[in-house]
Amino acid sequence: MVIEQPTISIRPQHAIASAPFDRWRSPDGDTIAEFYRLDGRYLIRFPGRADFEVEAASLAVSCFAAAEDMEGAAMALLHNAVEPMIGNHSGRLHLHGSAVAVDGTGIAFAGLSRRGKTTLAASFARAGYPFLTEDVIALTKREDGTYLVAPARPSLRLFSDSEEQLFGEAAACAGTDAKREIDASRLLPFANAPVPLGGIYILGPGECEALTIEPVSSQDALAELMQHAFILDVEDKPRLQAHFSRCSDLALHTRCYRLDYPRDYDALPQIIDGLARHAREERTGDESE
Amino acid sequence: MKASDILTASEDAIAREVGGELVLMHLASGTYFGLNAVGARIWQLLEAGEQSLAGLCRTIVTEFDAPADVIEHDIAALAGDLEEHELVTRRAGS
Repeated sequence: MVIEQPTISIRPQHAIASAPFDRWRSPDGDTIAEFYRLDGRYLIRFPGRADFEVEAASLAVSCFAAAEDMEGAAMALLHNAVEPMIGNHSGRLHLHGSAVAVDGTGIAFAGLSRRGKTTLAASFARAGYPFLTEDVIALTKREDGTYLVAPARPSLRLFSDSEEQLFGEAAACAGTDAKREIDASRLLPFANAPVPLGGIYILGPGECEALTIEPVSSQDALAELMQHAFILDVEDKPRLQAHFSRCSDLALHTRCYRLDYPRDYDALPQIIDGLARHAREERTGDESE
Repeated sequence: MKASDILTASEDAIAREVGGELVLMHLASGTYFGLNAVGARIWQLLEAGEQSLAGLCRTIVTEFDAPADVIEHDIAALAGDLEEHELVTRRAGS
């Protein structure tokens, strides 16, 4: 789902008379987004950042930044949250996560916010493995039951500490809570064509001392994958059921792993080596079966 | 829980067979529940219409090779779990 040349208007966020029918919360309990049902429209509010109005029938989107300095944030939210939400609502399959290409095979990283998905994608890219996406895993099922993962925008949004560690410098204006967009380059290669999906790694909290990768059963994978989906209307049961079915197919036909590693920048090169080796070994195993 | 109690599958529950297990999801709460072969058969019966615990036991005893008292115990435990996860509702039967 790509919304061509969206126009972002500035509109302060006024109080809404009705209560939200759904909320996204961070692991810390903070509200990330609120979902309201208005007259024939959905209003998706990212408090302090942006509002998006989605026509229920046509799914046309109107974008409103909460302030002038929120236009960039509104654009990022449009691409990384609203578009995949509308895609899933329309019958496609988008998951929250990043993906990279290892020898032409996509490996995806799903996980909660701030689990390190983008840093992992950027670290792979710095090691020469092109990144496909930093925040939205857009999947297409092929006739043989396997999946393709599509490239998204050729840029990554990194926190300043990650940027400094990966590139040796960070924008002076970026605070620790601000992300800066970094375009793909020779130092940050981007995969500009879809690749077959080799596996999905579900990121743990980092409470470990070494790289750990454990297979996840299809049943557990389904529960995990549903957690990382973008759902526009949690009360739309037919659509939710259809999305459950698509995630079930994905869990059945894709290897899923629980991944954890210490969040230590100095250890990242070894983590990337270990993960790339694991991805290659799994693919070799698939080919010999 | 009594043998005469009636169980009804929740309209908020959806099910899908995944890797040899039936996975249930409660749409409103987003909770998941995995069922083995016996549990999957029980869910199939519940999806067809409300069932008493005694009726479920009678069917399962004829279809699975296990002692009746074990089946009764296991079905009662499963019914309790499903009720706790709001995947079924239970009411007193006659």
